[in-house]
Amino acid sequence: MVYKSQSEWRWPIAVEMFCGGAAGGTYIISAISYLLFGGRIFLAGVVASVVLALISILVLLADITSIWRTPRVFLNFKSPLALGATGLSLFMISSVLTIGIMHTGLAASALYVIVWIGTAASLLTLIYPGILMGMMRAIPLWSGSGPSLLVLSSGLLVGAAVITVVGGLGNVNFNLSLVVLCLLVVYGIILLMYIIMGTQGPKAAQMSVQQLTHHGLSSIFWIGVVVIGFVIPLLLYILSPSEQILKIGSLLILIGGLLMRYSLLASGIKISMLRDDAIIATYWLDH
Amino acid sequence: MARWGMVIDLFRCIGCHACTYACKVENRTRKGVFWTLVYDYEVGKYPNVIRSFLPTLCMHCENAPCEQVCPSGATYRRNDGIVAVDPNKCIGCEACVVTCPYNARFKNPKDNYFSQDVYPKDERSVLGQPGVVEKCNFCKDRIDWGMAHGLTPGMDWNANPACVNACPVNARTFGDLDDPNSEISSRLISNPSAEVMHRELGTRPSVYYISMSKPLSGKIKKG
Repeated sequence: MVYKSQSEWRWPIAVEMFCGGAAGGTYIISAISYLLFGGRIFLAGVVASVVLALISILVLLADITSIWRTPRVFLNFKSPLALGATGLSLFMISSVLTIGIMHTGLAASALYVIVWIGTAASLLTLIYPGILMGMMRAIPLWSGSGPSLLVLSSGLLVGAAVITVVGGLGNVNFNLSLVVLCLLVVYGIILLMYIIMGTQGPKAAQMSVQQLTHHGLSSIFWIGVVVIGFVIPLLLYILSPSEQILKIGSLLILIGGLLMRYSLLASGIKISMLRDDAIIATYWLDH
Repeated sequence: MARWGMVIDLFRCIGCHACTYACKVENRTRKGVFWTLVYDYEVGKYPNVIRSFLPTLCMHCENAPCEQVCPSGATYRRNDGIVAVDPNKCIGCEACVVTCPYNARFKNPKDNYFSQDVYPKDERSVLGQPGVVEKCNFCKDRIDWGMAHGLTPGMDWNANPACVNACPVNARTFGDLDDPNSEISSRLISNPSAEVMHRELGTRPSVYYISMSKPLSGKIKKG
């Protein structure tokens, strides 16, 4: 087979991307009313974001060669990975400081600056996987700004869902269910456009989309990403029956977010070095 | 300063894989790790089927995507154009493996495949570290050693990459792309249709292929 999907980044990276994005989105949604309208910070959301970021960091550390080499991840700032690691580190520091200040009341005057730094770091944490994937011209489906928009919209949606799950409904000073609904619609539109643009792209991009919609990843995509991660939550949030049902809808959003990242990684088919009609004979050398 | 490159003549390649094994012996790569690969493939429909071979390796791109994504700076481009990996800096994130359009990079398994007693280190070979990414480096140790001893890479056996020496049909030519008198330059001049792989990506590889676009009919080109 002349077209193969990349096999290096699978579930561990999907989990790391999901947790990192969820952490960033959760922090932003928790702090947004404080930053823009002088409202309050949803502390449980900030705590949840720290837990999610910790999981992301632990998965990342488990995936690399040696924990002692971790400081090297900051050395080349031309790489989105280095920027993302920096963002994640700044985010951890800011979130822990935010929690500390809110708990103890000490250095309260610094809270505004710290939350702004945390928000900027959260945005970087949210978006760096998309930037990294967008640089990879070897995988046409990923190339460009599509992945950045997708992970950004998904990250904010997942963050709002996390806040709903940890008791945000009625405890934040904005209409959280409306925010989740709006983010769901935006995410759905971006996902649809991303898939459509993939079908218009080079052969490898079209094959990636076919993997998602018709072939090996179709179950995960249609059932996990579309139905569980989008359609059912959308219906639940439109009908808004009860707080418990909305929490279930948010849990489904989280599942869909994780499966979206996995299917995006697993469907990354590389451009071929051979002609489209070539049949490879050296299977034992094909890696 | 030289700018090292390679020309591969697909008309000459017979798919013997001598280059693959020479590279493996020279660089002591691990099981399943091939710094150079020869794709053996068929195109066409019966009865007009053509069997062709495509040797691949790291293209040592001027605009290397692997260097751009590497967070630790382990992947670097030397002044002579060779893109190399410092195994002591690599964190094994595999971003470079994913981004490489030429499938030229491999992550070593984390187990210790070679016993240190069986293959002692010498000054020109470094055993692959577990868990780090490695790839073809144009046998830079051989090139550096050769130049330090007054030899000319591309002309002298001991200063050539192992794959170039091993090829029985001289399908691979190595040398200084900036030297108009080098054999590689003369091959490029006499084959103006020589091209790089995936030019549209803007990576600017240093490895050129002769007869890449033309359907190969099995005729042997003289000269």
